[in-house]
Amino acid sequence: MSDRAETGGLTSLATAVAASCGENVFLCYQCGRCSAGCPAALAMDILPHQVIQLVKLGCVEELLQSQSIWLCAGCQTCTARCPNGIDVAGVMDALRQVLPLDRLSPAGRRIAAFHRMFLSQVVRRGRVYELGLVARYQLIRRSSWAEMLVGIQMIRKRKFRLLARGISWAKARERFPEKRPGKPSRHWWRSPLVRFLGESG
Amino acid sequence: MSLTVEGAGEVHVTRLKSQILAGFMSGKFRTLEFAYYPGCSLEGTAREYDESLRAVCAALGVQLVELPDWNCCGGSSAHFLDRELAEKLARRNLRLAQEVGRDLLVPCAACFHRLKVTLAAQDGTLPARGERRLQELLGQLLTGGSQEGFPSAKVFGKEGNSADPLPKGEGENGEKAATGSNRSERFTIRIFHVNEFFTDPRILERLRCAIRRPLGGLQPVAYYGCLTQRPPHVMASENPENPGAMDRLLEVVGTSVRPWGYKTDCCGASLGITQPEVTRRLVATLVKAAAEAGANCIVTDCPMCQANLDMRQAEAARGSAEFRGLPVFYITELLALAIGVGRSERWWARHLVDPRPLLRSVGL
Repeated sequence: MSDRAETGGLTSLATAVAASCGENVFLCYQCGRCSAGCPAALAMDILPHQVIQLVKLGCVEELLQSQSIWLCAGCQTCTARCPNGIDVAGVMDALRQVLPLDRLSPAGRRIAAFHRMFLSQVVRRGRVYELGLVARYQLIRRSSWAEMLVGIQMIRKRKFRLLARGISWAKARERFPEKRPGKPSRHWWRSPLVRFLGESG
Repeated sequence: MSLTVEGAGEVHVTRLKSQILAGFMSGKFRTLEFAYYPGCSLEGTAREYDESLRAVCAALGVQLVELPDWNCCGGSSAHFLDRELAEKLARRNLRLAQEVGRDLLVPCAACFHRLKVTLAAQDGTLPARGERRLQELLGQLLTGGSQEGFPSAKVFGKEGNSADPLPKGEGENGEKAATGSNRSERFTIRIFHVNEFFTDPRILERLRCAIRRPLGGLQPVAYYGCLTQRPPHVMASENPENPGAMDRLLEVVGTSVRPWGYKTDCCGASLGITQPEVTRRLVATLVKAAAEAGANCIVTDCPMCQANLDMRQAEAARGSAEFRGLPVFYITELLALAIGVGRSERWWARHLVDPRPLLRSVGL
């Protein structure tokens, strides 16, 4: 499974992670503190320190099959506690961006889909419309009744704002019409936004 | 309505507390102005946080200037899926704040985290170590080796660095490739989250003056959550494993705050929609620990934590006869209650675990 490159014992996976987030996973000596403090470890099939080890070994398939990198809540406890200063949560972010999304496990695909919905809203409106996001996700993913009930109760308590708000650069969409290629690509949602932000910057 | 006080400048008096006005007249206080970035949650599920924060600031004579046309910070999703987009979203907001030219108050913990990380990256607090390592790694890589199939590695190659290894020392190119942004622009503003803001000596002094109704009887635990504390070298938090700012504020408003060991443990809010069963277990652990610490409510400064703890407890309470749930307050709601400003009845009605029985039982 390993894709060890020919130079210096580096795997191309570890290198891609380093290029994405600047972290060197080879500093890890497997003490396991990241896993010991991880709040989501209770649901993970591969623990955080094992994820780092798989990156070192270049085991792409194992990482794709596992749902661990998608269960990471981004709480940064691992980053805060790593004795070698590895930004473990940053490595998790990098893996989500570096691994091919179309070959994910079902759980990974479901969580990635939610984050994509979130980002597509950010791109379209400039702000998040919570009710629309939650309703869309739960309808598309056919959430359980318990989840729907929570949502309904939140509407009854007027937690959600019913009308969406946006910002003026949402108009930028007219200037940069969103291109949707026939085959969905990894980054279809960001093209107009990135171009606009790039220009204004 | 505003009037000009000699030495203090323009003072808006409409909702100002009389003690603070006296302070202005005697020259003890001056007008304070902060830029304000509410974030999407404070427009929606956390409106009571926004309303109570604005009410408290108005009462204390602190002007908040909302960033014009601010955008979403991208939350967890942007840095989960697209580091470049996450940074661009944050930088646009920072640019707006820089134009306002005041220090920025960011009540939402997630927004605060994103902006602070972006700000730290320009000061070199954040990626300095990473970049050094990146250069070491890439110095080896770029002399050979294949990166097929990994988009980020390809992006890096596209930046035109693939021909020669990175220069040692200050790596402009490495920086650019890693974040894809314009590093020439520099932000000089500082950003504050709510606990930092209210424990600032200038504001804490006013808060002490303005308190009219101490909240005796409330026994809260202070819940800080993840994002305002970690990673510690970026957030510069005083004590990242056992922070104390909110505890101090809660003491100032007269509650008997309970010590506990879960101040910065994650509640799993970012998994709340996609992995509810994980979140339920994390919330159950926190609530149990709070109850064991002798608390009758939980106080937080994070809109995701509040919504998550509130919602999951209400869900558990529906299925059980004896469990009623601990009310989850925003710190600013309690400050407003102690000062006696704001439409608190409206806020309580929006909580899923109704705090009114508790407030009545302690005579508030």
